[in-house]
Amino acid sequence: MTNSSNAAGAPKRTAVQIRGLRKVYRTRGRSVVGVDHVDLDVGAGELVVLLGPSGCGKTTLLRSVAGLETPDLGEISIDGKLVFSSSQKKALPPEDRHLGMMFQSYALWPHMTVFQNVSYPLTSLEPSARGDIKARVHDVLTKLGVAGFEERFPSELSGGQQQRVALARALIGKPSVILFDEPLSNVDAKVRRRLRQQLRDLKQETKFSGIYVTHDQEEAMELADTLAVMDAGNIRQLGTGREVYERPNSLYVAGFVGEVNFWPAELVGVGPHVAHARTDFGTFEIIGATASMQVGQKGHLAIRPERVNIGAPGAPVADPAPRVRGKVREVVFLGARCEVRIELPGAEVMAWLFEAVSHRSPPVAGGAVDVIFEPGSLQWLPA
Amino acid sequence: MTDAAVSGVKVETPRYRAVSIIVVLLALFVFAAIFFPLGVILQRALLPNWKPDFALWATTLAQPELLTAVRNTLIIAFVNTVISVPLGIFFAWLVERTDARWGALSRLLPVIPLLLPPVAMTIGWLFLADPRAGFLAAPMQGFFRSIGLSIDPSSLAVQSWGGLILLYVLFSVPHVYVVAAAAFGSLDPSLEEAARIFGKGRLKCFLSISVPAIRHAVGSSALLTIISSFGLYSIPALLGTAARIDVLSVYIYRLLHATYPPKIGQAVVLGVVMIFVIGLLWLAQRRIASSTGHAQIGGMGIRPNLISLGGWRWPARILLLLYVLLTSVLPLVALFIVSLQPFWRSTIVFDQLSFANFFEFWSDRQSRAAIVNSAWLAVLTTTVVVLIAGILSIVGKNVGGAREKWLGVLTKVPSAIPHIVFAVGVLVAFGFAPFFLNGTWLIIFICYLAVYIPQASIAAESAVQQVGNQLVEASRIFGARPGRTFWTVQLPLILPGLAAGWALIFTLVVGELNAAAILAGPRNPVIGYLILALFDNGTYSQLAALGSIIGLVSGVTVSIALILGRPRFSSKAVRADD
Repeated sequence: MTNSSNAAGAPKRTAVQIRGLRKVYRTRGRSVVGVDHVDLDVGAGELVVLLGPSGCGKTTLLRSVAGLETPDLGEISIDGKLVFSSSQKKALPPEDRHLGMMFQSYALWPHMTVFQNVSYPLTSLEPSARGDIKARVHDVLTKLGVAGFEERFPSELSGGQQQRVALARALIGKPSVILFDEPLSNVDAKVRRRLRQQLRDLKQETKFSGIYVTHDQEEAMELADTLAVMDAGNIRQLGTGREVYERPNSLYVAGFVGEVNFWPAELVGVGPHVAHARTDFGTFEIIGATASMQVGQKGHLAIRPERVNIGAPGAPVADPAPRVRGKVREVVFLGARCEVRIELPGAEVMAWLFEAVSHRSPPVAGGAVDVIFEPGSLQWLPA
Repeated sequence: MTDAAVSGVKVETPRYRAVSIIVVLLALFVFAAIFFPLGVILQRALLPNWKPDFALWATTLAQPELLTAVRNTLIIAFVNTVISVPLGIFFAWLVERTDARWGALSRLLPVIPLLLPPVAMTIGWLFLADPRAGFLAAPMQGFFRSIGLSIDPSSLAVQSWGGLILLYVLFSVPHVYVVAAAAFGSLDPSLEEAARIFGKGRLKCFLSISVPAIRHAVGSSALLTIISSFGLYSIPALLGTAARIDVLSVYIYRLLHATYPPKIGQAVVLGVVMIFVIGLLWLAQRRIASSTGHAQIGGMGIRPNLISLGGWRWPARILLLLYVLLTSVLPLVALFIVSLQPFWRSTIVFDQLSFANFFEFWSDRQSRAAIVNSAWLAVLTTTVVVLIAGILSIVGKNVGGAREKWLGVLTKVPSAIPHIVFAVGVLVAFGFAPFFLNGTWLIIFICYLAVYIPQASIAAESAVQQVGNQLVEASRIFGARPGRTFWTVQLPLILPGLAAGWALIFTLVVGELNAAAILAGPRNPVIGYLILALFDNGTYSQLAALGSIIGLVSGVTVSIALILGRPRFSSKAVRADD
């Protein structure tokens, strides 16, 4: 994945700045926290993906930026302009925030043609600011590969085409920021992959800033310059996709951005660079101790399935990494990889073998194997 | 979606003060038209001269004829409900759930009678089944004679208990059908499929699964039927009088128009009693509905597998066709034939047929005024009521929450009150000092406005509901102010729904008889008044001509409105977000 390369260029200005945002829903006397004291910056040309399960507050956050929800506390600036501030009792309506948005349902107006839909953001402007509407619509439709459909109604287009028309409508007004509300959840997997590719190309080309909401971790990884994993109204971790995947700060984040093996553990030794964690089936070395780690701390020892190595039992030890003898429970062939479930004393581990598919013969169910835990692959996740 | 008041931060929308003032005034106007008459009759009946006094109640209830009218009304309401509700639900099930339906047409079939005003249907049936001059009388008697039964011709009269009930049923079934069909349409088909898989037969499945699953619709359609049985005036006025079967609505009419001075006080008391009885039934229905809970309605948009009726398929279709024949085709044909005859007779003499009747009453000043008034009133009230309902629904949707709910509930209140009672309320409230509107078209307008606001707002609300939130939000995101959003997105999208509502209400107003009977007179004649006058005078050919015109105008208007309002886009796309 090459997604982290874009984030390297430091943003010149902030497209969106969110400070201390809080939104509580009150229904029939009960309060549900939608967003809880969230701070977030979106740089110019940066795409921030909000990832989380339903009800985590990602959509509330997005709609607050859009002006479709009015938060209880906090401030939001778009392009340096304050659009919401609870202390100043200020809230600009959506139409004054200069945004683009792609909705989950496309939200193309069924009674308007593609041309009328796409030109709508321009015809909302003062006549002097509109420019050559026809040319601009044609440009953006060409760029997205849906030119020639101008006179059709949305119901006469396929799902993928509607999606691209919706994107064209979001782009045409050159908005300060484009908001994406799970825009790809209604199309099938193949179309979705193509649209994601197209979105990345388009981002390279037009350098738009955006906030993108999704619950699909693969989509999030692919599109994000910066990934924000959300839970219960909070941002649990913020970083590039690679950072979040490789150095998750909690079991929740580790589990949300990918598969992970984890076992309850306790820290038994913390040095300047390495730490030791004890589990039911042995004590293991972890590389990369941090200041927050202390002896006696309880948490989880974790390893991604693709980082689990296995070897034939009793094979010559070239590798000093600790090994644990285990029994193969089952081997599932999944095309690009083999998924192997191995029983350890009092625990279980899943390993993804990629070379096994092409080179070596995979382990057999019922056979014995050695599971090798590389210190650099193991992670400590505090409870 | 959420209430801005929660946060204490008000969104800085540019001031649409003029717009909000207009909306508030509209709402106040509508609610005044609804609740002022109700308040006035409640006050008149319960607190005459602002202190409790039940002398009026004593005189009202002491009338011996009242007891008969009440008894007859209850019998009709009971029998009509017991027959119409199962029949309407059965038709809805056949069309929505079984392969008895054929094409989109069959979904419209049971609703066709709604397009023919009940008064036209009643007159048509009078011509069909009058024991002496009815078109069906001789063939029917011949049929019975041929199978060896000799029966008294008058026992086949439509002016009888049997005839009355038949017409009440024909009138009520489409109303039940509409409610039940909507419920079946949104019912998860897997409920029935599961029952079939577990070996239940078709009929058993209908009785033990389908009907209980829509029991809330059963309850509300039963309530609807009872209310219309209480308040319907046209059928008992045209048929019941000759059969000497008096019902409450006719009794109330007589209190106002057949006695001098009019016994307004007694009419008011009876109206209040009817409102209370219906209110109690409404509460009972709500209690039953909420204690049994609603059927689970599946959200999957799959076309259900229709239940195969096998050999029963064609009998079921014939039953549906027979129903349309009885409610619409036969009465309309009878109307046309009589309207072309110089006088009403059961045989058709072709060289005597002419359009003379149509010209004759057109040349009569009073008749012409009635038709012109009704046309104007129908266009005006319908347009106003639909526009108001549309604006209120959009505003309701925009403000959301409790305010939307109350707006919805309050605009439905008149549907629980028989029109004839409501007309009495309007007469008492606006007819005399300080308004003195008695005998003007304005008083009829006010009454129609209040009486038809429920239908209009049901049509408008369902149209507004079908427009997804995101379509409106998208408009604002892309820079449109609320005004532009209204004109370019909201209004065009609900227009087809409003057009359908317009058509339905137009036909109702054109053939309206209940309010017309109470409020119209020689100074402000409308078609309903003219019908009663022609009927009383026995000028049946002209009555038939008028009925034909009503039927024709209704049919044409509805077709035009539906064609004009037909959406150019697929209805699926409107519900893009669900």
